[in-house]
Amino acid sequence: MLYDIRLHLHYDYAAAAGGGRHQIRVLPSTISGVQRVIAASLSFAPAPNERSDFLDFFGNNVTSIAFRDAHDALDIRMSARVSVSRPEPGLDVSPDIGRLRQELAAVRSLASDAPHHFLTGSTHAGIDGAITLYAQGSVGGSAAGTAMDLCNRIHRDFTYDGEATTVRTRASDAFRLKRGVCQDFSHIMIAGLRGLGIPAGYVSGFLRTIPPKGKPRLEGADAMHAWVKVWCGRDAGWQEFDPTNGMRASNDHITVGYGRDYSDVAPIVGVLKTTGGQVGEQAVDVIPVVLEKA
Amino acid sequence: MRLAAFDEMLPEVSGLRRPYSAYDRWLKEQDPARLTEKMQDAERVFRKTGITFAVYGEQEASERLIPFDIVPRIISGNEWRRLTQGIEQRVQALNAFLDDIYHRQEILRAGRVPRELIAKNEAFLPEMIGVRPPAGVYTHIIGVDIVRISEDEFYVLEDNARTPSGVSYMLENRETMMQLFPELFQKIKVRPVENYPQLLRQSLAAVRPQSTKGTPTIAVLTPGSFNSAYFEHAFLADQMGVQLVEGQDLRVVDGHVAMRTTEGYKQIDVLYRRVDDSFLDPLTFRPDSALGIPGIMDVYRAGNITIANAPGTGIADDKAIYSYMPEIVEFYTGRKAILGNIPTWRCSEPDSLKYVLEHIDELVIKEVHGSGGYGMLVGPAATKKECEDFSKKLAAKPSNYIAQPTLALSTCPILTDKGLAPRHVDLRPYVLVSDRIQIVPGGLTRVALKEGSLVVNSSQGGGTKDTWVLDD
Repeated sequence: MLYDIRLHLHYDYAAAAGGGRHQIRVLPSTISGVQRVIAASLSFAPAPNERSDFLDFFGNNVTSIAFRDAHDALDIRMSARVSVSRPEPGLDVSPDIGRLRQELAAVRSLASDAPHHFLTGSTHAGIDGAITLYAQGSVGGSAAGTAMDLCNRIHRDFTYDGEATTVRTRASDAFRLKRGVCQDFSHIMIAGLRGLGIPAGYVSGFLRTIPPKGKPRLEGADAMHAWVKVWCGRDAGWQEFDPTNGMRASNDHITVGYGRDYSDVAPIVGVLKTTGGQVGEQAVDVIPVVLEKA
Repeated sequence: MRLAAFDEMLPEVSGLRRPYSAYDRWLKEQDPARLTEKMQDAERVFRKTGITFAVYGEQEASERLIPFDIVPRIISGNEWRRLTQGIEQRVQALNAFLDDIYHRQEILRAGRVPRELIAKNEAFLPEMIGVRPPAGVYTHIIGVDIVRISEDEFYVLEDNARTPSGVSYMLENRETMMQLFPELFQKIKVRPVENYPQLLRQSLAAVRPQSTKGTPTIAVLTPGSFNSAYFEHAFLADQMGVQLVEGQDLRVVDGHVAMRTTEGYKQIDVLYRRVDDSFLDPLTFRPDSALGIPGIMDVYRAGNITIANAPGTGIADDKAIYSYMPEIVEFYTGRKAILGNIPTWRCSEPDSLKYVLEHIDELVIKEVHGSGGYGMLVGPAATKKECEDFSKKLAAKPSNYIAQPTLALSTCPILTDKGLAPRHVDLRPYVLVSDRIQIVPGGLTRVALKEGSLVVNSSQGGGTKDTWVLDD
């Protein structure tokens, strides 16, 4: 599938802000076997005084910007054309949890995609007794089967509620509320799998939403999305699951970055000096591109 | 339980040890009443200079004087040479290990250190992978804790490779001794430690970024006056003649870290930071940190500032890694470790855990990530109830703990109301790494003031002594 993605982040500051410095992780990158970025751009208004682009440890595109002068709003626009083509999930070759542990011990690498980084609790997805107990209900059969089952149960047992949580909510709190958004469901699934000893990480990205039949696609109605990647053993490798929708990541899932949890791939983190609060807005368009045959 | 310990001045078997002979002659000539007076003088000196440390978790008296004993701990030139060889080797290995862990990871590929020990460790910073610190040095200032148990046996207790503190006490102890007993330093040739601040300054200047033009600007970064070692941060900055700064004084400007001065921003080339990794940069680590400098990690990655010690250094002095130090030293230096490790049980291993739980009343159990003597159990000194409670904590999270045998740390006499009395001691020499390794002859001797106690940490009622390395 070919998509044009547009992301618009806008912040209004109650009082003019000075000395702002931000890191932005919103640019998709080419990932072999998943997606190819054909073109991408990221722009800011006002124009920052400093800007540098680099890849972080997990291979994510990071843009670091800084402002010297006071400004009362910040506007960030990203646009990209990405072609997504994930392989069909074939035969399940992942082992059970016992074998998975042995295979894990045999992985000698600590590269950024090594499963060892994704085993311990992290800030947002800490290992939690109650979540582990819940995840145990999905144990049986292969690791991939366990992950799929947990993914489906979270989809079924939890209520989507944009008001219940914030970006700072931890897995344990969202689990008790039984509510949240994609970020919370992903953290709960990650915490659960880690509690079982299955390496799991956070994927941030975009999702193409398919409008109800007969209705036009609403532009800007989409938001950034999050799902989960799970290490399913030496042969099956990393597989991705979307607990918000109870499905495997498909060609409708466009990846921006990977991390141990939200804090590794937050779209924007920043520090600035101001008095009073800020109001932020986010708009996302994921538009399938149909190339006309010449 | 009383442990039969080796006394460094008066071992029971052989009588007075040689390094102490000149001091002993002098001591015998002294009037006991005069010595008692000198003890009180010492306390006055410390009060006047304001050497204090803060104790966490105590409401009254949040700042205390650290008790000082006027009997020096004396090490012969020969003993010191042996120690320094061992320390140098260890420090080389620590830096090589850090470089390897954040680059090629040969030691993990070779299977000498388990990967999950690194990956699961909070002290390991993936953000540092592939980053090459200026001059290739990771740990610039190290305080290796060494214990002695006999004439020839020295062991490393801990490698403090992140932000070792206490060096100001080493300096103040010497200055106090010289004020109190100037005649002693004429009789006995003691190697100097007073030049430590100059050495530190030179050492930090030598690891400046390549891009630095002219004399590098150095600053000491402190979390602020509420930190237990604030006195030391201010003291060292003052002695080196550099600025003492807090995070709010610094800003990233045009790809460099700069401090606010009355004449505008001034670029900093080398930052001796006494702030923990997680607080260093809110954009990279803890977002709620107000102690750090937003964006400093970008500057660091670009090679435009030296951070001493480098972020992520903690992975080398972690207590779980400690037990692998003999392998680590051999892997990188190609030779057996000159200074041994204390045998360590890793409670994460089921067999070790079983042993530790069965022998809890004989062992010292420490938290893997703890420091300062907080959260540890000294089995032989603990009550039955304390042991039982600790067993529960241990069983609940075994990987959080290591255990070591209770060693009969050597003793050294302290002056009490009833004359000399032996007390257990350890030693923390300070090591500076730049293009070379320098070890200040001496260090901080910590002494457990309670009779029979083995805990020397100042937060747990320990005191200090001046440490003499003889120029013989």
